[in-house]
Amino acid sequence: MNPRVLIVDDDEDLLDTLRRLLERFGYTCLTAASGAAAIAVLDALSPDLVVTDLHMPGTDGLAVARRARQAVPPIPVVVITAYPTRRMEQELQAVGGAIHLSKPFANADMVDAVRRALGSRDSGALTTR
Amino acid sequence: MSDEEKVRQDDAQYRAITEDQRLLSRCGPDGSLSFVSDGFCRYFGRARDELLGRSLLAFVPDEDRALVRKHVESLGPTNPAGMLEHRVIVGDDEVRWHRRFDQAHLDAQDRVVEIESVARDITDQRRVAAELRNRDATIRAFFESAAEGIVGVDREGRIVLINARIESMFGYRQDELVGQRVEMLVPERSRAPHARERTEYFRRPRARPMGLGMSLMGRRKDGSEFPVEVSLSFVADDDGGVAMAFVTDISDRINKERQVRHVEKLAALGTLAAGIAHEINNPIGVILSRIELMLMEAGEQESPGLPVTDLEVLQRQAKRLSRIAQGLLSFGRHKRESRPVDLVEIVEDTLLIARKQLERDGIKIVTSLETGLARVLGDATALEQVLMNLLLNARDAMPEGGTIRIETSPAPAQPGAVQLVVADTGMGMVPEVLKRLWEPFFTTKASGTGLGLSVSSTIIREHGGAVRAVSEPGKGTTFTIVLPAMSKDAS
Repeated sequence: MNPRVLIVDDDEDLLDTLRRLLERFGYTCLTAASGAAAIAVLDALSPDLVVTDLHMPGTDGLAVARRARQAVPPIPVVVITAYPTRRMEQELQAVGGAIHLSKPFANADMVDAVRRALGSRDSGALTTR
Repeated sequence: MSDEEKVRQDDAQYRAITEDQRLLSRCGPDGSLSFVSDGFCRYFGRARDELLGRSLLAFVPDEDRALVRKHVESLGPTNPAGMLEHRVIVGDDEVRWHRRFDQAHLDAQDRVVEIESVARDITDQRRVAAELRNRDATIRAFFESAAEGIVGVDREGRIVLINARIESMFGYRQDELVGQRVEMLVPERSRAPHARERTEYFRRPRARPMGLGMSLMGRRKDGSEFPVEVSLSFVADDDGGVAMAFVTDISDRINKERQVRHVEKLAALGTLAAGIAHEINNPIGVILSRIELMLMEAGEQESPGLPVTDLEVLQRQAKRLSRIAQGLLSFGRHKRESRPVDLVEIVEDTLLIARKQLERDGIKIVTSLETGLARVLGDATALEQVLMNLLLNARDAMPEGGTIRIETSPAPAQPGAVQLVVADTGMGMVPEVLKRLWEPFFTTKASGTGLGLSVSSTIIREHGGAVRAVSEPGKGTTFTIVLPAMSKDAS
């Protein structure tokens, strides 16, 4: 079965673009337009990977990442952000680690990050970029 | 007691009292004392028999003896009376000042038989006078040496006094100012309001700053104007008083304030730019991803229905927007790392990314990297950004290809510093461009952001270093970066 990827972003256009991109590369995509919706899907459907925007109104990407990493077994996370900082890296480490990508990203880089994240699922280790 | 006796007694008492107080003495023409009053004895601290018969010169210090002798010898028929101030020795060795009034008594042949002398001690008077003179000199010194210019103006608006600072501040000589209307020191347009202010001030004079909230200008002799700060004070006299104006040239301060405002404005601009950049990055990301997707899909179709060239144009422009946003972000970014950094590693890491692209553009890279250099304390990423910026600029200067030379070495003129040189064989720059090279948003390239060198120079400055550009049209450009290094023990 194709790995299931949960894509989270409050920007519908980006959500749709990522869905189309990842579907091309053989992933089954679930989408959520808010952090709260994402957590609901996480709990209900246990996807294999979460790709989430970091800055969202309400429940943000960090909370989604935390929830994903608290699952048993922990779900790998790719975080997209327009503004990478050391503090953000530290926060991601604190919630259990995530791969992060800066906006704007090349599609190839997104696909690569997804692959690495899914690969880490088996090894258990997750490194930030 | 008869009346006569009473008068005699009173007289004697009176004389006793007055004689007692005053320093009375009589001496012969040779100066030997023949009579001294009780007061005289007490003053000199000696018994009468110690004084009588001795020369009055015995009680005069050496330095004044010639003076006193000359004075005594000068008394005669043509000059029967005289006055002299001189020092005397009282007691054991105390020196005091003495003013004497001498009268010569002559015999029938007009020869001096006796000199009668009345004297007073004037030591305290002289000291006070000297102190006043001193104080006067001190006050004058203060006045002249004041950092502020001081102008005294009378009720009619005429300058009555100035200090040296005013002369140098306004370029006039004292005699050109004293007696003139004070309005000559302000610009013509301000003269009428100034005169009005002045009359108003004399109505209710008090110490206060002048022209609060107004920008006051002074006018020099050569017509040039400069900003001043003035505070006023008032000195009353019999003629309606003098207004004292303390004038400070604040050109320097105004300049510094302008510079600070400029820096603050740049900082605010940087923050604004960064904010905009972040906002822009989001939609740019979506656009780029989507176009890439569309290009992928177009590439898979046999006869592409989607307009590939149009998409490629859109993609190029979106990438350019992204670069601009990146440049704006760097412009505002302030937090930098602080670690030991090896210049050679910076060059090698940057070339890892850049070399292929440069060689593809027909650029040859030649390096001369001295190893074992002292390390620099700073941010490797930022320094790589600077080098990358210089390399890309060099490439843009050589559209037909050329050579870039990169060198690292200890800074030749500065011990404790290292040097990075990036030189190209490109088209070079004219002096007008070279002058504006480091300005933000200044660019000669159609697709340039004008931020690369501005950000680079900021980064270098933040590292405590300096960068210089030398260029000649047709001959190429050389950038030399000097950075302070850590002492060898620290790394």
